[in-house]
Amino acid sequence: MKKLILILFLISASGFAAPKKKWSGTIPKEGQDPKQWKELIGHFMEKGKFHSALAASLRVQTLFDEVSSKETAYRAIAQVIEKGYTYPLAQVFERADIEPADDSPFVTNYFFYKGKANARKGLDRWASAHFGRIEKDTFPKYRFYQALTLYEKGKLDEAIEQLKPLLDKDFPVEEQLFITKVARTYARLLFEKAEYAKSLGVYDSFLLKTNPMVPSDWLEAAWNLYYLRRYEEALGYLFNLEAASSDTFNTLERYVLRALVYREYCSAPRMQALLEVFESKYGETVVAIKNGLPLAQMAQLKTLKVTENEVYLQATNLKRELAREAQAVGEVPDELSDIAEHFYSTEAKESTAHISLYEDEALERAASQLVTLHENIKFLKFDVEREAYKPEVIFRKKAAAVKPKLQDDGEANFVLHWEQDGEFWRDERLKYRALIVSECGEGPAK
Amino acid sequence: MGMGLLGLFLFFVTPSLANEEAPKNLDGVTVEAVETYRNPKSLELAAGAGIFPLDPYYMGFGLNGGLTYYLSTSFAWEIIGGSYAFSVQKDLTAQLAKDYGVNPDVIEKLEYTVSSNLVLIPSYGKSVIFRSFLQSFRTAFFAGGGLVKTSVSSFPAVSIGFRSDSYLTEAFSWRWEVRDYIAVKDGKNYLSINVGTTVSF
Repeated sequence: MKKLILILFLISASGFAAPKKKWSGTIPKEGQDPKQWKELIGHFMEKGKFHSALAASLRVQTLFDEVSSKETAYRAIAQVIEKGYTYPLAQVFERADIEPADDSPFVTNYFFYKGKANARKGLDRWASAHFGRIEKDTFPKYRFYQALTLYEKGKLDEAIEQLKPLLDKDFPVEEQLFITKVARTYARLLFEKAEYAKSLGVYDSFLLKTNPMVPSDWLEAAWNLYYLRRYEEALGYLFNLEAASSDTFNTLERYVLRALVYREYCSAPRMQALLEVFESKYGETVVAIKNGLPLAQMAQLKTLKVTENEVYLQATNLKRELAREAQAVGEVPDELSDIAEHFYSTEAKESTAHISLYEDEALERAASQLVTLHENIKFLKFDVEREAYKPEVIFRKKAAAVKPKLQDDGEANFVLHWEQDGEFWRDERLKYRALIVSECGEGPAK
Repeated sequence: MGMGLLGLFLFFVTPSLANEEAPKNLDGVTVEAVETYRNPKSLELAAGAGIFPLDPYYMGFGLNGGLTYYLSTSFAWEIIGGSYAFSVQKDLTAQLAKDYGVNPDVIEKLEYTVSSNLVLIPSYGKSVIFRSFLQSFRTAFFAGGGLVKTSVSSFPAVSIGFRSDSYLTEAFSWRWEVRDYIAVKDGKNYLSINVGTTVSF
């Protein structure tokens, strides 16, 4: 028995490795001076190379314990976030261990982000302590954060009440991004509450008139129009996503919504056209997926907007933007050129390694969505074609073809109907509508 | 709501491409833009300046103005339009005085013109400037009758012309115009090239 216990002990003990040596590495010579890193971050911020500033700040935060360098890094990160970069905050501020104490806006932002990061991890007491260091009642971001928290919990009415004072407040132009986020959240909350007309009003009166345009706003507004049964306008809004400037918004949802509208119109030819448009864009990738080729070879999958792929897409975007900003490395002052070259060359490798952590799963998800949507469009097309052979549809009176009018020259208002012929005009963005003919007979239910 | 104003501001201050390429349709469906054209109000006041370049003896510089009532999107009545001219003698006048002793004061100089015209507006449009700025415009032909007053006499004239207005807002536009008064008595032309602004209300 003792022998058995001894053997079992030895076997189990063999599973425990000896304590590993703490990981350590040597910072290459070019990157050893924190003062140079601080100057490099300052240069990036000054030149508007915010992705480089963010990546360099993250590097400094990891490499150095010196408080002054860390503070520079956190200040830069906070500023980049202010400019709209959506890098996952939690990772950055979870390990923040400085105690800035001046009265600059950075200090308030710092403790706010730190509180948020702790709250995300469920460390409520720590979160509360950090939030306690800001003027919660007068700090708009805290109110917005509370609204988001309520939204996540499904308390839509309470979330809306939190947002309303922010919407009534006048913000300076520099805070455009913040108020845009607030307005977008408000519109989404109204959509969740099925108050589509109100939600659409937020997009039409504000979000879709604000530059730079956010392509997802067209899609969200189009969903409102769909539920309001204003299908011609819904298609018109989706038409905006066909602009060259919306190319980077690589979402499949636009096809889903178009297919749903064509179904309402019982329009088999439009479904067929949609299928052809979809296949001309994604057909080769779909075939490659079905043939079992490696997903990593399919460039389209890497940019496809899939909700669950957010972290992966952010990482690939950061890598892309860093490569773009690195092209202007020659602008860096001579005394910083060594560290800048070291930074860009090592960052490219690090980004690639970082992306590879997420890539397989992200590409699997994108491939799955692409193939599923392709099948769904084919199924919907079949469904619509089948509908067309129902006797009640066949013998219904067909709706007249719609033609664009050149002009409606009323005395007071002068309404023009410009038929689109391969160009977008900035001032027409909110005015597109599709001239679609219903195949159902009397048209879709209004 | 504060954001409404902010949105409006950003819409105008943030540069972006005014137009770009797009597909001709969406899945074979024709897409149209339904737009209420920037249509000025019905009453319009114009003011500007111009030159009368055709007189061989004098260069005329004019200050002009007008009042127009828009009957519809295609027709308008320029109730009154006129120009007061300041003349500056050309080299030829000085040469005549020097070589032949011609007194410049005896040479007929334009003093003012006044007319009333029917305006036809054949085209409205939009242009994009440097792919960044959109500009609405409309063009018009006009014709009517009026009076030309010179330093020697006054006489009736037929007035004709062409103009183009580029709108900054519904209330203001820049205008350029070519206007000719043709004297009924002898067919002499008093052509002017004018630029100015209009205010609609």
